[in-house]
Amino acid sequence: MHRPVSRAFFVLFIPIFWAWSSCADKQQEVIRSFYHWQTTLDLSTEEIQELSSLGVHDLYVKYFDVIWDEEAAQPRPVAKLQTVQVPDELSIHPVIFLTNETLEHLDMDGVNDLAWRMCKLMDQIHTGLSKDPPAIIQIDCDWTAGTRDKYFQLLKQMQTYKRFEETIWSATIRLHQYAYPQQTGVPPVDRGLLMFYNMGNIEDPDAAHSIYDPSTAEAYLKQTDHYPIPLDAGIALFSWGLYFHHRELQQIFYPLYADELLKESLFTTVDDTHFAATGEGYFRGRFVQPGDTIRIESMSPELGLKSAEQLSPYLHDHPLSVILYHTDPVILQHYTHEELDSVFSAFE
Amino acid sequence: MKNWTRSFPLLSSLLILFPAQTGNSCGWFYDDDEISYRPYNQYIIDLPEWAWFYYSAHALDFGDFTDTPFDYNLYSQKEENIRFWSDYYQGKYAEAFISEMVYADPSDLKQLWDDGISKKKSQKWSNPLAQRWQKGEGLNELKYLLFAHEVVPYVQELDWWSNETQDLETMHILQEQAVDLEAQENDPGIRQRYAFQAIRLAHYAGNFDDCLLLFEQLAKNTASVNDLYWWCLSLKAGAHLRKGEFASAAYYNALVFEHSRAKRQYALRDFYIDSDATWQQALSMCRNEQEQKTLWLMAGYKQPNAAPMCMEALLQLDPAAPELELLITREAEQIQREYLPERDFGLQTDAPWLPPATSDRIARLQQILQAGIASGKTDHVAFWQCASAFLYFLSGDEASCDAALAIASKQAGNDERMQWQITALQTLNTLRSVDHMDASVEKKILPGLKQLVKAPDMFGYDAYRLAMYKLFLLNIEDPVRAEICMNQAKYTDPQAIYLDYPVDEMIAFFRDKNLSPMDQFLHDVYSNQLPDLLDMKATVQMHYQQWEAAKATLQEIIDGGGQVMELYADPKEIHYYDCHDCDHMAFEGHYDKMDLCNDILSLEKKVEQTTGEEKAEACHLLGNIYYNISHFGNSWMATSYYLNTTFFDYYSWNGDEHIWPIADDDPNSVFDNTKALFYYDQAAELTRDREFAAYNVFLAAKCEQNMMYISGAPDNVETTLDYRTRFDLLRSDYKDTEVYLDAIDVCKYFAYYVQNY
Repeated sequence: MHRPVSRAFFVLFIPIFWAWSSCADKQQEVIRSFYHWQTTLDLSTEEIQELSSLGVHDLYVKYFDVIWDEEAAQPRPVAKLQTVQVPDELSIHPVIFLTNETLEHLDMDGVNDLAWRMCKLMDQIHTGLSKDPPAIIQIDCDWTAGTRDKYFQLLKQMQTYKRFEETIWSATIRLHQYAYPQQTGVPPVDRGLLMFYNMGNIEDPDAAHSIYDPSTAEAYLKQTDHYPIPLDAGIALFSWGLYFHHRELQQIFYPLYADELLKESLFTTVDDTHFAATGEGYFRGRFVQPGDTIRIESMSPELGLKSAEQLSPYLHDHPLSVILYHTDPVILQHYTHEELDSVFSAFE
Repeated sequence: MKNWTRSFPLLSSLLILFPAQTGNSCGWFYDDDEISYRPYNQYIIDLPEWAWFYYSAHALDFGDFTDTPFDYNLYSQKEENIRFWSDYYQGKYAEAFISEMVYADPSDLKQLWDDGISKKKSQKWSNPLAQRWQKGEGLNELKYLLFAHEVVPYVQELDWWSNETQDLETMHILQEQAVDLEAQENDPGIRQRYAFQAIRLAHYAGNFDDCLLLFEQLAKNTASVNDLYWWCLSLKAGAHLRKGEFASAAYYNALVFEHSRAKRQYALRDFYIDSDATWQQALSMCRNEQEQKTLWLMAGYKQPNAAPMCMEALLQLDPAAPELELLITREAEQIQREYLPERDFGLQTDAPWLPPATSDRIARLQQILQAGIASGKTDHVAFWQCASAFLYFLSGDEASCDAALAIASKQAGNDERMQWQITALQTLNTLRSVDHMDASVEKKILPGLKQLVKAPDMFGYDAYRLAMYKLFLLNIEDPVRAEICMNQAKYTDPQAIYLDYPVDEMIAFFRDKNLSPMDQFLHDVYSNQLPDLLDMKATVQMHYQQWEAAKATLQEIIDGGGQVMELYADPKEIHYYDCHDCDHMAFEGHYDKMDLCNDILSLEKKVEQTTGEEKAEACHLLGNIYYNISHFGNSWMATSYYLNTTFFDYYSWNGDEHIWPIADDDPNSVFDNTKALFYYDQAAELTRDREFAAYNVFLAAKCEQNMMYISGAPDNVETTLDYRTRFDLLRSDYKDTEVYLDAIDVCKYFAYYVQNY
């Protein structure tokens, strides 16, 4: 006897089908975040509201840098986070920047000792901000083949620090490290933060844009099918001026926008991004001479979005943190709310 | 949005871009200040108090690396403080006594206080200051010292790796105590010291407004009391800096720089001009010409790009200003670094020697020098003329260079250092136009060269090296003269290239009794002399196993009164395990290259002429010798000069790692062990002594292992087994021997082989 299609089919299958198809269209989960790179953390009410309205609840705050002190012949923390007002609305994740030069000077014993010191100082700073240990810790270091083993040992050692046992560890990954993991190694951490900026040769006076160049970026991205650890995205929003004297890079003026130089009588415009000194004098603490040049490199809203759209298809490890660099008001005043929102949305 | 300038964003990950000039890092390379040849000597200007400032900031941090010693005490804070106290006591007490008391342990000072109050002596002091206090005299001084010691922990740098901050509350209490004590004190000198402590505490607590106010109230009018005033002013300058008041900070730092040697470095460090407006404001604060001069000096020092402008301004103010001469010295040094070649790598045989350099920078400095000279008001005429001559030399203007040097020489008189500089520049200038060598050219330049080779310091020596490099280029077709000139220019090591060295030509040159004056000079300065050259020849012959010929050459050394080079061990000795240092330390006899030649020749003869055990023994000994004179043995220095393979052309570099060469069957290669292997095999075959045979098989296995290393074959099981035939033989035929058991014990490779294959 022909049995009619079970009513149960319609009761069960259709809703299931509907639910499945809805899942297929559901946005990828993106954790919207910002870097905070200044030594004081004291966001205004407006800034906190703006971050909140963008759906940003995570702030990656640089706690300190570690450099090599030549005179003392030892690593030294500098730019320690000072005044801190922790907004209730934000989760604070410590970041430490470590110079590659520091690692070059250390042997393995020194590396292990440094790991402990970094954790201890980070712990002291964080204890002033929160009673809970940090959920995420990020280490920023542009390691090389020569320092790889030491850096990876440092990371491993840091992860044994008792109070950070439950913490998720993250390390920044530059594009060249992303493209050639066999050569450069993969840091022993839970997640990587792909720094999708500073991809060009900053010292080249003829380079167009060392912060972001789509073709350079594409060449790196295509080298790797899948990076061995989950990756988050770092997108730059800043603008700087590269000061050249006799075609040698002498200083980076940061932040610097073209409109400031347009008002500066010491400089004349060569083109949209290049300015030349017409006389002698001081500019932001630097004495410039005729013929010196400044090249402005800006991550405009258009470029910021473009970089996000270019990177997004390559990152699949959701939930994905997208961290914008950074909360400097001078930078953020060049972006509207919608423009910032669109950068995040490019990953969703 | 907030004013971002409120906080100083410091350099961060994006901004730390330049690799540091790591002169003190793991590997060795030249310091910033010595990276290029420097024939122009900064020290020809005699400003000992500013000697530190001739060079880069690196010299400030790490001190003098040249031959001329700095007087570090000139800049010592401790020394300056003692001088302040000595001035306070009007020279009544020796500085050693003052130092002992000022830096005494606080517990001793406390005891002296108690003694002074009770007029009792708890212990005997030979220090007259201590005795004075024990008598109850000058107790206000002691009271101050006790207070100062109490302050010290609060003004010291805390542990970098701690987030601890200073106890600001206690610091504020101490600050107020200092103010009260200052008000209660009658003695102006001690009052000033309390004022210093109060200002210091406010500064270190970050209360910069308080710091400035306290200076105004307590220290402003104390310049005549004691030079400690300048330390107070240094704190004031620092407070202005941290408040972002750069003009005031710069101005006051300039005053501190001028008056306090100990604070000079800090004043320079903190000197910062952010804009033209700040600069004009700082200049407007100057009360007299001297203050202006110091300000111009510091601006020109801190920003080398600003130096020409600052020198021009100083020239207008006072052509005789030592500040101007210091900037000239530094600018000439900067130009020198920019245009002269880098050490070792900068002298290229395919480039012209020091091509004339022209630039706005050189032209501008020359204009300043000419203007100064023309004014007739400069104090050190020789210095100005010499600096000008140096720039003319760089520019290739030989005639102007000569003219300036002539005046400089006349003015320099008995100033040896200046005369040296003049000689160096004269010699180099003469060489510039020389394009070929002949007797007249040699006669012209030889006197200068003879002076320069006796250089008293590295600057003179750099001039000599540059001169010799020019001579190398002029003699490039002549292997002997080219070799000697290059050796002097770049401190080459002839032994490093002994296999490609023109040894016969060099020996002939060194045997020539009729050398020209120039050739005699070259003969005398060369790093190797005849015995060394004969040794090199013999080593080459030994390298190619020409033992008879080597013997004859070594005999020439002996006949000439020289000594044949000793080896560190007897290469006839061998062990299971190679330990060169062990062999060298254990060796007590004498064994030299001649002994080696004799041994090889006699043993080879024995091999030819004997049989049985005697032949086996001879083969074994020859195996030992050929093993030990290879790269792998304890007498490697018999046939080469360096164990470090970077001196050989035997390997290649693929960008990542050194690759051992593929074995090319070269029996003369220092890595070759085939001959040793042959003799060990012979010895094993010939002997009836099974232990001895087993031992030779093991030694042959060592040769096989070395052959595997240099084979360039992939490191895998198959390759390894190809080179384990003697291991296999040892196991299959000699398992019952003691040697077999010893080999397992001593050699992990054999033990592994036995266990796994």
